[in-house]
Amino acid sequence: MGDDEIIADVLDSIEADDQASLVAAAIRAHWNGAGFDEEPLRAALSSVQPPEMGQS
Amino acid sequence: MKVVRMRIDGFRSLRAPQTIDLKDGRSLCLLADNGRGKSSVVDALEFWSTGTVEWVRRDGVGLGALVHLDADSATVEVTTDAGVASRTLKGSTSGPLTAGQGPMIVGFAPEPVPTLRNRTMAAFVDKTANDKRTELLTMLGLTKLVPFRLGLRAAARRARSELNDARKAAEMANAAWEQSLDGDDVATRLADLAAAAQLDQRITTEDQLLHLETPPSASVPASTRLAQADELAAANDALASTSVMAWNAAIADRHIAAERGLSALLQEGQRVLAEWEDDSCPLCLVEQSRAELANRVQDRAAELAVADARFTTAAARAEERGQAIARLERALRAVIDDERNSDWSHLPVAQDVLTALGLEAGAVKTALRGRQALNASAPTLASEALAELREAALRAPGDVGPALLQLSQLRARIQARREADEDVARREAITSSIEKAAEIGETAVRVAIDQALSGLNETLGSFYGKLVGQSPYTDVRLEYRDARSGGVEFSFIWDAREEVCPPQRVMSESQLGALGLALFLARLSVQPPDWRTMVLDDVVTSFDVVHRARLVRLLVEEFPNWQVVLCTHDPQLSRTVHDEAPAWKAIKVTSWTPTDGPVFGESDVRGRLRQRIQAGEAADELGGLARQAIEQALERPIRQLGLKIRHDPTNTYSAEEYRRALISGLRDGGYARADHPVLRRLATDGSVTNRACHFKDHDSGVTPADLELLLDDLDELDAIFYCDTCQKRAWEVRSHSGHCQCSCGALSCA
Repeated sequence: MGDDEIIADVLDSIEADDQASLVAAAIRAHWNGAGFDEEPLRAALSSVQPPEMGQS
Repeated sequence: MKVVRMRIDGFRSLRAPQTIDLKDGRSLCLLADNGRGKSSVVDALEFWSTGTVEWVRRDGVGLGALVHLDADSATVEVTTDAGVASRTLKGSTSGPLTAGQGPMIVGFAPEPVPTLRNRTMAAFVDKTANDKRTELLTMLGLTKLVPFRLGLRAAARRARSELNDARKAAEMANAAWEQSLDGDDVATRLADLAAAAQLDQRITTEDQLLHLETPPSASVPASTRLAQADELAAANDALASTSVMAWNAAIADRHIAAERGLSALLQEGQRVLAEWEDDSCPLCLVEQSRAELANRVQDRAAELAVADARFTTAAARAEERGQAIARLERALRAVIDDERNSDWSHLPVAQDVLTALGLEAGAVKTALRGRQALNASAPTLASEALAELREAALRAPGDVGPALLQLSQLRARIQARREADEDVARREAITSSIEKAAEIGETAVRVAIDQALSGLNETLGSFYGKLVGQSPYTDVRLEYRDARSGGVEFSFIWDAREEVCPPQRVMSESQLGALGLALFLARLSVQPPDWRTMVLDDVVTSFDVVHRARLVRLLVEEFPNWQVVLCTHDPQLSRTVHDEAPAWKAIKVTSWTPTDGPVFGESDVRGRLRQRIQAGEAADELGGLARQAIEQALERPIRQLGLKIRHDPTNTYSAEEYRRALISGLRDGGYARADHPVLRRLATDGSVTNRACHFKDHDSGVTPADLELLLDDLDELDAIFYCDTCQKRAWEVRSHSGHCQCSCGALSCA
């Protein structure tokens, strides 16, 4: 199994995890295939709203 | 893919053209003293398959260093079972290279021939765990796992750090709230203030205060309205301490990034131009340099993009600052309009504030337009004037303003405290989520690398065991260690007791060398490249005789379909190869001069002698070769059977000395064929070869027929140590005590 496939599996696992799923979209969106786009990832993580807070 | 033929001309120490034929991809043992051209052959193969040589690239000396000092050009032509291709360099180290021929690869694109040199083997073992990881993961095709893992870890660290900051801010907001109650409980404090402010409604809870509608501006005194201005002044302070600094930092950042980017590009361009002038293989270099240049330009562009993003954020905040100032101006102007006809003594001060704000708004606009730095003093003027108005309002007797002002301040602190608590809760959720994501990533990366390494480790441990035999080191393996920065390091159990890592703690140089060699071979075995040729250049320097023999056996047993090019200066290793791997071709550097370089001679001496006799050469021309053949034939059984011969520090014995030592040793050992007639005839053969050696003018009386008899006798000598029935040689059935006994008993000695 190559590294791309391993990373795709890891991202799926993060998305499926109850605790980690909150940030899955931000991580998936900012993995550029060779590294993380740091600043945009940081901004995306800062703007994540926990579900209960978003609902209120 | 295997090498069938190499032709090297003018390359490094190989001035005169040399051809090495390896028909059918035979393995090769190249024997030469130090400094006699072995590494030139290895470098030639590397240059041919990669377009450069590692040390040339590392030292930045230019490809001209590969051309022999007396040559105008260097050519390496290699024929493989897939086709023929050549590379040529034109020029010399003494002058600039002329336009080279460039690579002309016909029929296939070669990849680097797997090569292990003594120095690279030691260098790998000595690499840090991180560098080992990089090299091994590249080999295993898992390079992206490292940045992925590090990116997740960094994000988790940053989230945790931001959470800590948010917690500190919440603590401060709570402390400010407690302080503002001045020791009272909330209900008492709020009720007292509501009464002082002459409010109609009762206020005793935080929520009531938060939902309190402030009295309409027309019905409250000027001082109350100034409380609103006071809030704006606080906002002005906050903006002054943040937006000005952020804006100015972004401006500086952008300038620095632009300057660095431009100067780096300029330097890079100059370097590339300089290389084009110095080297002669521009096609290779242009591609390489263009790729490097593209990478660097991309890096600079990324820096500029980050600086631009920061700049945009700062500009937005500065824009907000301008809008806040405008709101402040409007509020103040409303106050002044309302009080224009009253006797309010602070109207001139309010007018001054308005003027200061107007100046500040202008400064912000100018800075935004011209991308200039902001002066941090302008908002200070406005703040000072606003503070003066606030003090005046507080001093007004019988006024409800102070109470309203304090209620306003309490409400702001409640809001700040609640917002800080909410921020902590949100960041706790994000941090826990990203930390869990990092944990999932960490586990997955570890499992993937462990799986990849386990395949390699099984072979590594097996090969290491075969190389070193009995040793106190077991369970030799490579381990991924994520505790620190995720390095890969050798590990093993020492003396069946303790795990040791790194190996340098207990292993000797030769044991470390064996470890590097085992890893190199394990890599080829587990993930074989297209090549079925491997080059081992002087890799057994620190090995003793037993370990050298083990290496050759390992190569023969584990890589039967591979072509091995083994370069060594050690005649004993060459003899071991001859014994253990008789199918390998053996080439020895027979002479060497600085101007022409080495002369390769095949060590199948008897075969060459027979060929030259058949070609009709005079016997007197072949004396040297004949003597070499007889000495070689007599020396081999002495060495293999461990027979005694008088000590000579120069290790030079005549054929007659070998013959006598052989007969004596065989008799002493009770060897069944000790009195074989051929052993006597070889005395005559020795005399004949001596005559042929010493009479070069064709008057020795020795004929080609005499030399053919010599060759027959040498074959017969081989035969007395061989059992036709058991198909074994005497030394193959020799016990540790020295006793020889084949199954049928033909080869026997006491």
